[in-house]
Amino acid sequence: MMLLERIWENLRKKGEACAYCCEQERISYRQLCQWTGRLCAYFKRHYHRGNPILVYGHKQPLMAVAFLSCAFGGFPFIPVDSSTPFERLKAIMASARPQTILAVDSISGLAFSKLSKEKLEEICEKGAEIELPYPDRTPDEIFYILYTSGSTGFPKGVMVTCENLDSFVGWMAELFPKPPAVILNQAAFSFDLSVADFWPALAWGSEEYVICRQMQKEYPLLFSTLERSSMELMVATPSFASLLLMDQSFCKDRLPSFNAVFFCGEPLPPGTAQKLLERFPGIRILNAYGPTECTVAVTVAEIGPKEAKLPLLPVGKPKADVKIRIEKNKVPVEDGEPGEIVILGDSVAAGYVLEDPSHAFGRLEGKRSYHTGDIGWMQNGVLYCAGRCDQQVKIQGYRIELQDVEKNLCALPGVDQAVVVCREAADGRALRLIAFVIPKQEDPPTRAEIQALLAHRLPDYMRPSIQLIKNFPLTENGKCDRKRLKEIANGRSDFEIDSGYRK
Amino acid sequence: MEDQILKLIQDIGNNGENIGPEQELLESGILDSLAFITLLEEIAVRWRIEIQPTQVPPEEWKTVRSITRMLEKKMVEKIS
Repeated sequence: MMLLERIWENLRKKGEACAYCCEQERISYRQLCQWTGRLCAYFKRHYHRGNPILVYGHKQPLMAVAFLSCAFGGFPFIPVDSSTPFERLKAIMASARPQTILAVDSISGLAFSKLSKEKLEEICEKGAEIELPYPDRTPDEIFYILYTSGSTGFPKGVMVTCENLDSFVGWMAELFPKPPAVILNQAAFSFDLSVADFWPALAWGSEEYVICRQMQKEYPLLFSTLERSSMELMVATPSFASLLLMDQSFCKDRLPSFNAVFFCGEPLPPGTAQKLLERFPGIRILNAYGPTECTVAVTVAEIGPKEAKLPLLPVGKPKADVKIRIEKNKVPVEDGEPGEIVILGDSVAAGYVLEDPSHAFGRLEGKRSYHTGDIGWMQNGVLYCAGRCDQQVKIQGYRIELQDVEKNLCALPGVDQAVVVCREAADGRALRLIAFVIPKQEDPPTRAEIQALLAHRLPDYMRPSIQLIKNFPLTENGKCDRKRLKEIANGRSDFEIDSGYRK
Repeated sequence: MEDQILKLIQDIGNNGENIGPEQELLESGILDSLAFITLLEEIAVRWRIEIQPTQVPPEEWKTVRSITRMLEKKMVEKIS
């Protein structure tokens, strides 16, 4: 595997150069090499190659060691951020059946084979030096499994192969002929945007500089950290950039080395691109597009001052080993006509861990294919993306199936029915989830009780505001009128909400 | 002013409908980054105060009451 061969060389020759930096903790290539050598050897002695290992934690340097040890040892790894609620973690465990958990953050109340942080540190730091084996992964082996919101109410695991990731990192190298020396990471490792910084950084022998959860809430600290990082490339969601742009100190004078940004995960508003270009004259803005099922991103557009004035920013041209096909009723449409975006080629992942009834993965024109459910069109070889054909929404880059939230609500005691809709901004961006809940007649729960129960099942970005309601408005043929509920949520319609339940 | 800030955060916060003036907003995630951006924009429009996030210590964003105090101080600074 090309990627791991590059990393293997960097680990051996980069010495004291910093590989990974999280807050005050810096870990050099030499140390990363030493720790990975020992941990990888331990894994090989104790675990079965090819069986997955779940890595639970946030952005501690030990996470980097864990990922690399799994990668070199031949174990597919499942990154799960420690903000994930317990029930969600259990659902992931039930689906992926990992052989062990690397508990970089501690997990209480789970009777399952685990290696604690203390144990992991002991393995990494003590004992004889063990040489890191030269990588021997084959293209079809699963490299990582990422869990994303599923419409069944259970998270679904996407299996990404060594070939998929090799192809992605190779493409990133083409986009950056002169690799950036320091790459800033915003996303958690359970969000595949992080793949666009972590793996290229190590393949280039650069420094991966991570911004942890707590820091993203403390602005003075966040900005001083950005200045200290000397970042050249930032990999982030457009929402994160909008937040940084709120402060005037996010500018070229304070961050002189910052010269490129890679966006993915949600649409880039033209205003955000314009402001960035004003504050950082000459900055390269890369607007990328792709679902987790196709290894982070498959198309990219460079947004300069001219492009930034467009009302809808393009997401660009596909990478060389990928073809984009726009379909309507399974038939390709003409250039410029909208339809469902279908991705064909080497970036298409191996599939879901459990079978998916939607059959989104398949084969077309002799290549692996994936039906994204995104609506878009091609114009002069450039892709534009404009929304969904189903009930998936993106809030601050997080992908959420509305049915996932609904099914988790309905699983709560006291909830009879639930419909989840989005409150939207004027430009159509999804802002907040609103759930209309019909409680059971006997002993109906309060909003606060529903909130508290839901917190055990769903991560915070998936938790809606609760609106108790006696009956749903109905369409003419007697179905729940989702459109109407959406209008109510957006203050455009006055359906009489029975407040008798509200406590 | 406190009532207006309270109403505003009830509207724009993440699950903030039932909050009171002393409720914790940061750890609870009610004032998440999306709500934070909207709040700054609203403050700029309604009270003509441009706030630089880096100029305000995090604890001043903790509750509706502390936000109100911080804003009142900024109003006074602006006038004098």
